[in-house]
Amino acid sequence: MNMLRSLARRPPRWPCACAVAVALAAAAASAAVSESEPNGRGAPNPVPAPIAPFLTSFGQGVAVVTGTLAAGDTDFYAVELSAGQLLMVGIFDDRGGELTDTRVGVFFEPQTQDDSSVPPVASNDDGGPGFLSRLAVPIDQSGLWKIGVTGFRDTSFTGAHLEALDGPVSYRLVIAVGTSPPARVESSNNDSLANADLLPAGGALVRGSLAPGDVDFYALDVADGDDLTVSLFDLDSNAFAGAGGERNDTRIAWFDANGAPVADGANDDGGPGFLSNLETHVPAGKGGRWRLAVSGFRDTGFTGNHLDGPFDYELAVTAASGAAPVPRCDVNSDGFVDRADIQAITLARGQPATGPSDPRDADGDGTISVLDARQCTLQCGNANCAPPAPHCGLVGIELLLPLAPWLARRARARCGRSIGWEER
Amino acid sequence: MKIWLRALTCILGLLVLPPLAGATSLQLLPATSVVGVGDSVAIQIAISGLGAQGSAPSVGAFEVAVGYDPSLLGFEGASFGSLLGDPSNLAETITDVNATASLADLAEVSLLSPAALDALQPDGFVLATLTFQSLALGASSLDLANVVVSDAFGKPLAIASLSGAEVSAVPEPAAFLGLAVGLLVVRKRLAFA
Repeated sequence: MNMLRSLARRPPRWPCACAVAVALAAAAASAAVSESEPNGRGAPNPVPAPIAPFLTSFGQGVAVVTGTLAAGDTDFYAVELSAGQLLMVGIFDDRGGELTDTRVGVFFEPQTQDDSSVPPVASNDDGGPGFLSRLAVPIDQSGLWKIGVTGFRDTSFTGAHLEALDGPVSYRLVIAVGTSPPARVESSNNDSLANADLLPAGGALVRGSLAPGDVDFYALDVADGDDLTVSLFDLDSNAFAGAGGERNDTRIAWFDANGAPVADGANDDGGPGFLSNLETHVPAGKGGRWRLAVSGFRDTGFTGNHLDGPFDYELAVTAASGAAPVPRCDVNSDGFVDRADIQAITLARGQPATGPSDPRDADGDGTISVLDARQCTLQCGNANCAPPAPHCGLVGIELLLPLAPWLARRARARCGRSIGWEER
Repeated sequence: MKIWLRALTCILGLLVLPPLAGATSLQLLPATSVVGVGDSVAIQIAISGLGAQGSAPSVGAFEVAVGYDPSLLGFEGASFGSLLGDPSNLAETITDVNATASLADLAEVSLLSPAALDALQPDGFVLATLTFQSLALGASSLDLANVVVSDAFGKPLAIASLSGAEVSAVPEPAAFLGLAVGLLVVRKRLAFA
């Protein structure tokens, strides 16, 4: 620990840069953050910690904060955003929002500012499931933004509410940040379970488009005990902003690894408006590749029998906790998908998969092919599947250590010669 | 009788029609080559029927094997096109060539984003070029096998038609004869002009 502190105090040389890179990589891998009290308006929890541009740390565009709201409590989180982005936040709890009534607000102000007379840029009461909150806010200024969570009565975000009087209530705050153009878009033929677009482990934000008769399918590798959240936001057709779900009525549902509908795994009007959102737990023994269907509200069978659309949407999907899912694409098990993994899959083309957990078989069809390799390029941690930042440790200069005695002798000899000349 | 002949002609005509526009096809070009023994011949693997430049579908990866008669042809090598990314740039594509006695298997996986591929690729282009050396007299057919073409998202692109090629090795005099005939034709045309 002391060594880490001393490293952190040094000028920004490579060990310090490495420490930061490793911290960011760890944050990006989990995409889950825990609340740390106290985190009132003047002392928000940075997401990530230490604060960094949100999309630099959470490359897939989503993060989940697990927090607890107590009586008289307000929780604030700080995120670093850029003008032109779209911030989407949603709150989920274990009871579908039936017993807890929250309010969420978004503020643009200095990190330590705590002035209750300054109203939020945007706030929401019951936009999410039950009495929970959800909203989308276009970001018009670059810098630090705060997200506040409190009880619904507390319009000034000072803790003046009556929620959690029976004891603290845990919640999950999903934070998603979209860009225009989007970083991830649905493919053109993801209209069946078999053709579902595979999302990275842990989830992602994806831009889709729904038209009458259209159903969009997405796939996610989940593990037993995982907590899944899905938040669908429709987009304004004239600007990069949420449309509020007043004109578009969607339906979403999860299908398990066998293609069967998941119990309590569907939603119509979770909100806001007619939009859908959903929280689902993966039961024991049910982990595997699940598929998520997005359709119009009439289409209960997810066959395309609906008239909704056309409209664009942002879909934020997260998977947190539970056992580790099957590490697809990470062939060399270094915790990072990059070019080395893609090459290993390419060279193994034509071989049968070793089993359902073979990381090379991204599409799960039992055979390694260039289809798997290409799918995995979309799971890479860096653009163009570049490898991660160099690990802390040896950098190559240590290879010169055996030459040290020779260099020392040479230096002594040179020194001696110079002294000799002076004596003459 | 005439009606039957017309019907037969129509059916045959339909059979030899090229694939419908928009249907993805893969072919070896040129379809026929005549070379002398010992000469090299280049065969292109071309894809067509993709989305217009700037739109999906695009090719994100492919694997194609070309079968040949090893008693007539020897595989010399392969080079990849640049529309899945620059093959010489490790940050853009991964390529692999695996040749056995009678089969040359090529694979390329692009590391570019779907949007970049859409912007880069027209509706048809050359995926790769194979080079063979003619070893002996005779005609060797080149057949496509193990064809897997991925779109930009890692999903299979349906290939509506596959077309192979044929390489014929002829004795050198015959090759000279062909050249002489060609020169004669050119000369006659010049004379008429």
